Amino acid sequence: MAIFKSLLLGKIHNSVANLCMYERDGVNIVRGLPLKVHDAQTPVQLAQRARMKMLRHLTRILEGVVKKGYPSASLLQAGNGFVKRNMKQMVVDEKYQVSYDPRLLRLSSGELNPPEVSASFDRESGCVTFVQQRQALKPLAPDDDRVYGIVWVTNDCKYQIVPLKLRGEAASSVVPIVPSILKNEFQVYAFTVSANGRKTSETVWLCEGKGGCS
Amino acid sequence: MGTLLPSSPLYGCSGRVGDFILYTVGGKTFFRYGPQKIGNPRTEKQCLQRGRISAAQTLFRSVKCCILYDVENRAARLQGKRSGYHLYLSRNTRAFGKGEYVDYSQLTFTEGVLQLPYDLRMQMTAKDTAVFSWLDNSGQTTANADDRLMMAAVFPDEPFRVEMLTSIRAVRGDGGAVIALPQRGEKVHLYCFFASADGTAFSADRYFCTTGVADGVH
Repeated sequence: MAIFKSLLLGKIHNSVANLCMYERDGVNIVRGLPLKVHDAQTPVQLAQRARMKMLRHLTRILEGVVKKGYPSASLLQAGNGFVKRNMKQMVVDEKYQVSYDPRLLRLSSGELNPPEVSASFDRESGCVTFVQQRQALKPLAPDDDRVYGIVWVTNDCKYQIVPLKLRGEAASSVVPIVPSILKNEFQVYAFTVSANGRKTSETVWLCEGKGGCS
Repeated sequence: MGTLLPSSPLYGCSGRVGDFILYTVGGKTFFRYGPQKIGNPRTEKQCLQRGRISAAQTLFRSVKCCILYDVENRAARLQGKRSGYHLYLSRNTRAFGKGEYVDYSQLTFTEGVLQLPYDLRMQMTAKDTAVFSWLDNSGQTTANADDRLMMAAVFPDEPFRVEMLTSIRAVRGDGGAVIALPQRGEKVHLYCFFASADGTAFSADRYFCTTGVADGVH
């Protein structure tokens, strides 16, 4: 692998013969392509690939939530954060089918204290009621953090992001669920985002929209 | 690190020129060589200090919402500090420890030219009643009889929020005051100070801590 600076070539990408050129962090890199690609496809490798496939799929369908829950300079970095945080939640069986418990999924991750909020779903009105408790001001619990509720149709791209009150306020919010989500089984989560949008808390699973609430 | 003189054409500028960084802080313009590599080893001491600053900043959020902010800013101007915030940090950062530990007896919120009265004491006569007494030292240039008693409090249910007790009407000439404390926990941290009648001069504060039961003199 070599680093080059060329006024003539500038920044070049892709391959020429067995040379591959790319740019990383503002540096032009050239390296030789491997003569032989090893792909042993061991069970461990295949299980990891299945996990990655599922997590990348979730990152795509939850793009808006991942952007908010994993604040980063780019969606790629946010997605990497989501993949890293949720890798252990993915369970792979002997046929390399991936399953996960939606209650354990972390739609956000960060150093802030999680919000004190509960939710209940009313089938008749089709509304989710979020009840927020006022939290004392602490270093990792500033009172101007915004609490967000997330309503997500399990394993689908349909979700609803609900801005709730600030962490320093006690409030009850009744949120009507959009009809496209209401038809399906959905999960309700909450997390907090700092006032400048750069810090988040861990996700709290609140309830599900089918079969009653906890 | 170098300092630019006001006669320099780059005085007041901020930014990067090649490997050099120009920045202006507190009315002075500095230039220094940019770091080649940024190290962040996150040692125990570093993490402790960052936690302290973060905790001090959290408490300062509530200071900004009351008269204490004005007191800090006035004191900073008198001492030639950059701002009340910087003065507050320099005085109080050491009162914060690991995690959410705070030594409230080391915190101070006010400084100023006024004197505290002599022999300022507190006695709990009931669970929620504190009786303050002092010797009236008015008649001096830095102590007047109409100086108002003011009190900031930190309650146990909000350990990182300082609040002003607004129902106090006592003045220095009274020689004492009976303060009814809100029932929000037993151990309340109180910071007493005096302000001039026109609200332009303040004294340093004195710390007291209640125990929730009627007891002896503090």
